[in-house]
Amino acid sequence: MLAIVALVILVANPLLRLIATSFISDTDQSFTWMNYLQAYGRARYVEAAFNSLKLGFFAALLCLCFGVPLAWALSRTDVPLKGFFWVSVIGTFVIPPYLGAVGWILLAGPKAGWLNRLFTDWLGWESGPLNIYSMTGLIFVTACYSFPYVFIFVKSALDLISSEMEDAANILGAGPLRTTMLITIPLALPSIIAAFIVVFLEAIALFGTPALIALPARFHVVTTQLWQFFEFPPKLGVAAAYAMPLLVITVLMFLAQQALLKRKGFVALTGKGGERRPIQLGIWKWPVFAYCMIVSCLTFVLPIIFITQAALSKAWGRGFSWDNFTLQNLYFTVFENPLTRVATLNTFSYSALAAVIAILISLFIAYVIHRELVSKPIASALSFLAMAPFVIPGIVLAIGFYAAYTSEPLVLAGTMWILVFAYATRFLPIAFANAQAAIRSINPELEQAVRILGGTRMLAIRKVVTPLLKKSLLGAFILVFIPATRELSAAIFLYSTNTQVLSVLLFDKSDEGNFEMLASIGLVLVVITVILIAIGFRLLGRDFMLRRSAS
Amino acid sequence: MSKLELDGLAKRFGSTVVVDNFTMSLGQGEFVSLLGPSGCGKTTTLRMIAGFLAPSAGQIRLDGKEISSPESVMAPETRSMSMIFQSYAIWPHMTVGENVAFGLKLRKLAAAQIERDVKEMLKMVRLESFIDRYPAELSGGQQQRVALARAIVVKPSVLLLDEPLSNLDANLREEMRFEIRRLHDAFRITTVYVTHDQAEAMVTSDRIAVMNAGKVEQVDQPARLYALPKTRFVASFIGKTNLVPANRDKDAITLGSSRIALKALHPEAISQWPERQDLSLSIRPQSLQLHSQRPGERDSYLLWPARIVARAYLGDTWDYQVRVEGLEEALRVTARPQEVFELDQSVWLSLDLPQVVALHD
Repeated sequence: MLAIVALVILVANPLLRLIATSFISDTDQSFTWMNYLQAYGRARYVEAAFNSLKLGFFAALLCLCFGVPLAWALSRTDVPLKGFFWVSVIGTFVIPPYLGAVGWILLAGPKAGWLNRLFTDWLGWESGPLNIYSMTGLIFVTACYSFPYVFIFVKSALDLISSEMEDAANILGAGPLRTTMLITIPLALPSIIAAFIVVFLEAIALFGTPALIALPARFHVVTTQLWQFFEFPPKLGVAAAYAMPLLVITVLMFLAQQALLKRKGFVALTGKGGERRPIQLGIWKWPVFAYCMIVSCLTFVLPIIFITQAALSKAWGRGFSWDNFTLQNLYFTVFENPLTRVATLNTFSYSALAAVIAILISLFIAYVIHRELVSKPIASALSFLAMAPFVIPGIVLAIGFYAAYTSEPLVLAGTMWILVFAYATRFLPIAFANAQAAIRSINPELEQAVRILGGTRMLAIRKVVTPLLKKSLLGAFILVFIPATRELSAAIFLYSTNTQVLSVLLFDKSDEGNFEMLASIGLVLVVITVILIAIGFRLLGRDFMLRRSAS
Repeated sequence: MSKLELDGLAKRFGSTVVVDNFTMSLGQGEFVSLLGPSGCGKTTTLRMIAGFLAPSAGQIRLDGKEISSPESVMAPETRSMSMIFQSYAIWPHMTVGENVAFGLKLRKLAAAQIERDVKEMLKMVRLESFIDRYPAELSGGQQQRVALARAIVVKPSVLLLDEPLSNLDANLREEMRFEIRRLHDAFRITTVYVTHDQAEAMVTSDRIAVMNAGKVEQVDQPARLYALPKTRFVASFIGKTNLVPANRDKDAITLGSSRIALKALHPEAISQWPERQDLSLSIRPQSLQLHSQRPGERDSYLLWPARIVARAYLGDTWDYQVRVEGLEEALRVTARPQEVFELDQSVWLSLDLPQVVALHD
């Protein structure tokens, strides 16, 4: 019962209210089509929608260019420095996309960007050729921080392909290059396409990066346009109507992706298969290595170096020197500035609360489903609701929450709970997927053994299930907590002055151009995330991050 | 009075009947196996006895008291039974000692008593030095013995075993069969044992209930199941047999061109004969013997001229297929290793009539 109420509050109500709101006039509460007319009646609003599609498509394409060769090299070849490339991919996962955007503004800002200064100062060019504030720049930065999805999808597919498949082609006379192009890559194709879809959806739902890059470049995408509809006075109905296509596209593409992954035609992906040997690249080792190095540098090494430099310097433009070095920014961020101090505290307490709520709900649902304590239709309704937020872009979810909880009977707007609940909902699918895996891993006979010896079900849960779940629950906690700490696209709609979180603060500060401060806030987030992931690795092994891609 | 009674027990999942009209009663201290191929409903029956499943019809009584019926099912924890699961279900986060002590703690025994019982029990299963180990540090056979110790130490009213040996390798399986019987002889706990392995059931049980497609085919002592099967299924599931179609009239059976007088057969087989004309004879490969010369006539023997059509040497036996004039299919004959016959050789085949059983078609 409790779980159903929780799911209605967290998932069903916001979604239904979002849809309802798109048909309700903001002024007199009557039914209307006007919201849709207003949302798509102006050329620049429509143009923003096309910009989003363009961004999604090209960013996803670029992600494939980054991710597929890297995945192939790490999975199938003897390319050197694999460990380093691994770290750099995980690194790009850890850096919040908007922080990556800050990094690239430092690198390729039109005048002062470090790369541009390379051209002007060293090569004597009139002006630097790079301008991050452009559609191209936006596509590039988005791709940099979405490509790990491609990498993980494709790598896990390649990892399952037996070397015998390639040997079979070799023995028939195909060289290594042909074998890769004709056998290996096609075998991984379903995963590549699925990854393309995921990245496309990720890119069109992104708010932070476009806000940092597209707004100064004076163009809009759907998410930034939605944000504008929320500028005072908020046009809730219009925003809801404008968000609807984003929701529909996401749901459709997600369904397409599921259908694609379900197809069983590719035997290579069923998990069995003989030994796997790395391909000996020989002389080709170095070009492949160079390519991997370029991708790593562009996405991870360069941005993180210059973010760190900015965070640790008095003025980032003065470069690397000891007299420019200071810990003042970091110290100020963490301890002195009341705004950032409160925001830091908020970020971590909200995220922790959200993670606990999401895990408790998921655990309860997973348990009753897997122990068949509820009937089949109820079970599938529960798991559908728990997984539904997976296909709702954060920004759409936020509008739904806003629509649902700014008016009676349940007013949460302005309180911390709207943020906590929104986080819990957004990452409920991650928690649920983990809870299901955890419950599934416990043989019901372990509980039945308690009962036949005279213990009740509650005793079995207390003495056997809970101790056995401890580890996987900690993993689930970390997996929900990390994305919650960096969540921006929902928070930006739901925060109030008392409930600032770091991501929102970072976004707000970008207006002032105080990059030292921005970088410090970002660095604090990154460091804490890294510590948490390290704990996760210690306790649970290297795989635990990958489970999220399975959800 | 019987200890455990199953009375017209049935279980349906939707429209599929998994267990159908199962009636059986176990005496105090009796060891009964439920034997059958996978999907025959034996595990479902066991889980109904344990109280994890509610029956669709019928009752289960323990010491004369009803514990399960379609209307009400006593919870598993209130039945004072214990169970050994296919996966052993040893709790991995508790030591061997903690696993075994668990049931005793639930029974609120004094700490000293618990310690004594646990040690004594672990000694019985030869694990006394493993008391502080965690299950992950034990081999499969040792885990199995922990499961046995944990189930038996509480002195349950009924002990249930669900294919407990199916995860062990062949040698260990053979050893554990005797271990289980040894523990039963020591404690005399009323036991229901589910298995699909004929030899396991034969070694451990006082009686075996052979199940097929949800129905009980026959409940009997191991030796009688083999010697006097009541159905075609039991005859072919317990050991190998030749099932040969035959006809009967008032006082004889016609088999091919031979006639067998009814009084030549085992006296108990007669009462089982159906009053029908068409029937099958179950002829065990061991009841047939091959001869190169025509042997002397004997009353209890039927003698045929025959021809070897196939043979296989299995080390401890020969497995021959022999064609007899007038019979449609070749008969399988088990012979000792030194009884060597060539392919296509003409031989004499004798059948020991008291070992023949007539069955329903």
